[in-house]
Amino acid sequence: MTLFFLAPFLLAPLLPLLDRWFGNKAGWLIACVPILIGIYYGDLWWSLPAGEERTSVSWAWAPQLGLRLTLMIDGLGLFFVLLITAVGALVSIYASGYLAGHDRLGRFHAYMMFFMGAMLGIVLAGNLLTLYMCWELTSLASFLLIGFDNERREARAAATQALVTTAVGGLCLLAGFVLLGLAADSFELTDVLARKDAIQRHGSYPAIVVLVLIGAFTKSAQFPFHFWLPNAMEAPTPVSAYLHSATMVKAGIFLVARLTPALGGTPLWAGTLTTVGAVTMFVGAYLAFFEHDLKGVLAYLTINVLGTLMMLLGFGTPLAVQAAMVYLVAHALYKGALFLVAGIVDHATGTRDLRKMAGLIRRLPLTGAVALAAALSMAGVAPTFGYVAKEVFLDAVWHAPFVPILLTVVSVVSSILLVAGAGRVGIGPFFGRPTQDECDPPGMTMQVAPLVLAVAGVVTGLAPQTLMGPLLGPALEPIAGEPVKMYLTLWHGVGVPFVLSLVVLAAGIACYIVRGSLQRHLAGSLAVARWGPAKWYEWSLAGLYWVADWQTRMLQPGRLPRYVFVTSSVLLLLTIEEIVLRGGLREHYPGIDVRPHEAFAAVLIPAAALVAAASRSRLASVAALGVVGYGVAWLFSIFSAPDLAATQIVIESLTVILFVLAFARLPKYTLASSPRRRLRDALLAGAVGIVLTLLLLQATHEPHPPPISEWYVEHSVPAAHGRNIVNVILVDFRALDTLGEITVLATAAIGVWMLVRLSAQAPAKREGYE
Amino acid sequence: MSLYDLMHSLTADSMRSVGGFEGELVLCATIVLILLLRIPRLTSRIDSFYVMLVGSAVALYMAGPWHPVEQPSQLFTGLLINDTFTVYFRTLLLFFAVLFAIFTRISGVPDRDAAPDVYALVLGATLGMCIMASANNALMIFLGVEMASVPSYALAGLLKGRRQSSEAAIKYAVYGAGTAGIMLYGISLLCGVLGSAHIPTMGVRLAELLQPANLEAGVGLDTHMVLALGGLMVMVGLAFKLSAVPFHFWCPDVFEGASAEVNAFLSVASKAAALALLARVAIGFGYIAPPIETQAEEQVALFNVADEPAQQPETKEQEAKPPAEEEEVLLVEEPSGSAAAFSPLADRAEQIAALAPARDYLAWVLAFMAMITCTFGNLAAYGQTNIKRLLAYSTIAQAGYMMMPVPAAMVLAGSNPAAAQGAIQAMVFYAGAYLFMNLGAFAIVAFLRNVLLSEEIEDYAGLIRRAPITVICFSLILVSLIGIPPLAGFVGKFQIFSALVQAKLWIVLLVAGLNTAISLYYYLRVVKTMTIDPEPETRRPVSMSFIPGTYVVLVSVPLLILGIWPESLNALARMATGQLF
Repeated sequence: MTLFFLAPFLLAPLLPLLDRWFGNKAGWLIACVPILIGIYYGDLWWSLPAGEERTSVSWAWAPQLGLRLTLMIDGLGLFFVLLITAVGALVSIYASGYLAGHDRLGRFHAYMMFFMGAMLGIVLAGNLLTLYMCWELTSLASFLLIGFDNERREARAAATQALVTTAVGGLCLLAGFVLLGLAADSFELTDVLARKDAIQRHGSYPAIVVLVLIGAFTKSAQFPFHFWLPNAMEAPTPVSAYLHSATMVKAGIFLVARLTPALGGTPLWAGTLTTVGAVTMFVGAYLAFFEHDLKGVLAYLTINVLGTLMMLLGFGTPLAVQAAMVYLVAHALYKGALFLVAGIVDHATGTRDLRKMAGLIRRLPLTGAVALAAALSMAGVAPTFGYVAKEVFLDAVWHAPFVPILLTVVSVVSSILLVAGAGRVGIGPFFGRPTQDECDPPGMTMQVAPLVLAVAGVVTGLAPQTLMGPLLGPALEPIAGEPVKMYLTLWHGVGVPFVLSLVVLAAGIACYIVRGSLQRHLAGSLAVARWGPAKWYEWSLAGLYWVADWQTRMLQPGRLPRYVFVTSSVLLLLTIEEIVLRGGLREHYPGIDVRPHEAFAAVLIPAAALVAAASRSRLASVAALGVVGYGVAWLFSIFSAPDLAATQIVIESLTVILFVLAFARLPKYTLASSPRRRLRDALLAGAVGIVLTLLLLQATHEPHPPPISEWYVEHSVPAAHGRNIVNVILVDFRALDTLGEITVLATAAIGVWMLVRLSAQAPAKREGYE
Repeated sequence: MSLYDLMHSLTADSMRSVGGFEGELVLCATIVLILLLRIPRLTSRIDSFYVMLVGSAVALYMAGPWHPVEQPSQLFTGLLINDTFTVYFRTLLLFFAVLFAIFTRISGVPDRDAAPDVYALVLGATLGMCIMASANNALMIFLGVEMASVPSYALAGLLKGRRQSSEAAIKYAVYGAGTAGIMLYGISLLCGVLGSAHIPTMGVRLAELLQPANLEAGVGLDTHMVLALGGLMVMVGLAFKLSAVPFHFWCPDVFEGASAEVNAFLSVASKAAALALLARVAIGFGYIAPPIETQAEEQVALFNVADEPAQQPETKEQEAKPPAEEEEVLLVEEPSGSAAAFSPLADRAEQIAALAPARDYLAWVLAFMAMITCTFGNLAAYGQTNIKRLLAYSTIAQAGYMMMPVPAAMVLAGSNPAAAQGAIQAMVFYAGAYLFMNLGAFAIVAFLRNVLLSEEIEDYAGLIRRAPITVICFSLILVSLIGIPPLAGFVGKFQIFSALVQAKLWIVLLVAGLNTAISLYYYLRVVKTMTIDPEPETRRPVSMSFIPGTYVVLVSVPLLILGIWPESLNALARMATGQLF
């Protein structure tokens, strides 16, 4: 299982080579890969001993985090595996015809294979995080494939939009999965599915549902995240057929189906799914009616179907679940065929505008027949599989667990629009007076795939139970949580669904005939769509950009004074806030006994600092700074630290000298800031100084642990026979430190010596530094 | 004790300490060697690159995790601590130094003339960073930060003659000096109030001060304020090194002005060391580590006289207390005697419990800082068009993510030390993965600069056709920075997020999640530009040669390996954090 799971990823990089060797024949070879994979998994599942529903393999990934890579196959997984591999095989044959002669066909095959591997990973995942990983990989593959025609700006924009939308959804999904994993105490799907009660009683259950569903909705293009799907039609047609109709957009459906046993059965779950699904179903069908781009119509109708599936899964009744799966198959068959037909038409005529096409059947007879068969299936005309699906669908809606009448009305209206849409894409372009004279007939490679899909749509309609029963039956069980008895047949007898079906068909045909005037009359309603979610996406990106830009301009203008100002203000505010929060400073400063020579330092230092800041002459500033330093040295010497004072004096002198030396190279001093800014800075500086001084005063009047010096006072004479503690510390207690210091000084001296030598050696080079 | 004993124990301590300090000593020797080799005419022809490479490799060999540290030990009379955490970060830093040397060699910046200066500076900064990671004393915090910073200022100005570069260096230096001053002020407040600079002792003192009896009696409440502000100021210094908002200002300007090579150094090594130090400080003041049992403890105690909650001064104090107190009552209107506030606590558990207010405070400050850092960085990165500036803001944002486990650890430390260890482990893991991500990113930027002569994102358009391997590696790195599986960034982020979940820091988690969503856009924009945008027609002929390509692959493939098999690094991270709690 591992090998077959990894096979697509391993093979993908090799496909460009295959393409180079075999040219357009490569498609046929590549198609063998999904077929083999499909056969393998089918065999794996069907040869399971009776009574066992699933089998899995698992490796530890990061065990302490509960991260495992687990693959699991059960009826539901197998159902999707077969769907993915079958359509995948057909599409890869088709693609080598569609993109024949394209210089990056090999890379295209590689991306497709990579996508297939990721998609198989989603449906075979036995662990939430494995599922998530593959989920993100499909988004990535979709991004690469939508942007495949990178010469076009729209394609690139659409690729980014699809990726951002689905990836944001993916992050929500991850958050949901993490919460779900915590609630179920395991990330393994088998555990999660078995712990329904624990999960639904858990406090984070609502959050889990919302987050997981956002993930599913973005992927499956549900309202209000549907906007990326029509734009994704910029992708080459095989991609649209495979990713954006048959498989990837079904990942959300799969996820909902997969997690229904764990999360389903609550009003929150059912209500959200049903509402969003029904709205999406209607919005998709409605918008499709006004679209004139062939692939655009198909995209909106795909949205319609995805909404339908979500709604049906939301019902959660065995009947509805069955309807969803049947509908899903029917959709994959007819929509796949229609997309591929759209590609052929696009190739042959060079346009995708429905208004410019008519009478194509004379030029493309086989394609026309295929389109007709697929359109009939889509419209739900007997004896196609689409008819079977529509019957079950209407039946399920009619028996919906809540508001059945309302839902039936919405479903019927949507279905009417769907029938009209089927007419527009399957019949309109092919019949009537031909408008096009020139037409390139498609090659064989492009004809096979749609033909197979369309024929399958009709044949399975004739004997639905025999052909689809063995596949669909096991798929339903993991969703419903119990064995589902199902019986599919073409003829259900006269019942409500049958009547509704007839109504839909009749109204749909009528709608198709008067489509021109209907479109004109209702066109005003599209104004709403202009303010729809696609705009929200743009606005949120633009808004984010604006905020980001503003924030960066405000905080990061590149001017050092601004940085220092902001930092000091923040520090000041935090300090004041902390002081206020903790009840203010206590006023218990004892009368400090200030002696005159101390007072001298206290006056001298601030005065010198002021001069340093205010002076317009560099030399004066430096001199004033020197005075500050000497003042501090003075303080040190008063408080019996002559060694510190000495060091300080030396350092200050040196600094002043260095400064003066460096000044020779500096440009003339100019005053860059306005008086107002200087006043502001002065106030801030003063405030920081005052607050820090108060803080220091506070700190010196608090309880203290015993001072360190006592120990030295006690030990200096007995241990080191010295009375000057500082000396004793330097040469006895910390003798090695002193040794180290001397070493450091010596090293530094070597460095200085070297610098002096180098600069003496290369005076010419120094010029370059300035 | 006679002077002989004193000297003897001092020598013994130093000799013992040298054993745990070999890596740093080798670095020192290498620096001196690089400087000295330039003087004699004969040796000045030796390429300093080899000295740097051999020096850092030997240091790595001396300090690596293959010399197991079973027991943490205090070095140099308690100034530094040598435990598995130190070993991990030291290894990380030295490993980076080796990779960095090779990187600069391949990219050709610095040139041969400047190389000795640059390598000496880099090694000096690395030494400072090693000290940051092993600091066990408040003064060593300051020393380490300064030792790491001062060479960095010079490195930022490496591109001599380029105005932007000099400006960046000056900004960096002025800003760094300011924050260093604030930090030193904070350190002096903390040390002054707690009466020691030895961090474990400070922790114990803090616990004594915060003990419930004191809190009930209202003793030392004003001290809390001083301590809180002192702590805040120390955090300013750390935030500067972490480039955490609002002390990040230097970062984008410096990154834009300095060369990509220096950026790699600043964003990886500097950040790793700052994170290590942050964890050390947070744990030092919020938790009492298990006591260290070393034979030489006596000596350590001797030279940190104040760390001994020594019987001797204590009893004295108590004897002397009654009169002292009376006097103080008369002189100062302060009823509480100073010694009473520091009455010792019974055992470690009690000390840890008493530190709860400190932990809350740290968790609050750090969580807040992490959240705004992350948000600011991501938002600011959003609109950038220069790759170095984008990566600079990304660095800020990543610092935000990497800080998040520390508040989580603070929340958890009191009740569940194992979970707190897990949180720090997440940070440690991420720091390891981050090394590859940012080194790789800046290496690619540098190599592309060499062939494209540009660092604008738009000039990368359609590069996949010219340099497919580089682009794929860069995409891997960027996707890993977002945190998408199966890359190392995902595992790291996942661990961080689960630490936040365990600590129930929901707001931080939410902010982190939203930020990840924002970051998606700008990282992927770069990927998009490189992979699917068409090539500009005016593109100079571009070709990546073999050696840079190999280097890029070598640093980015570990991301995939660590993503698929994270246990390899996780085991090290677990070991690294094992002795902290």
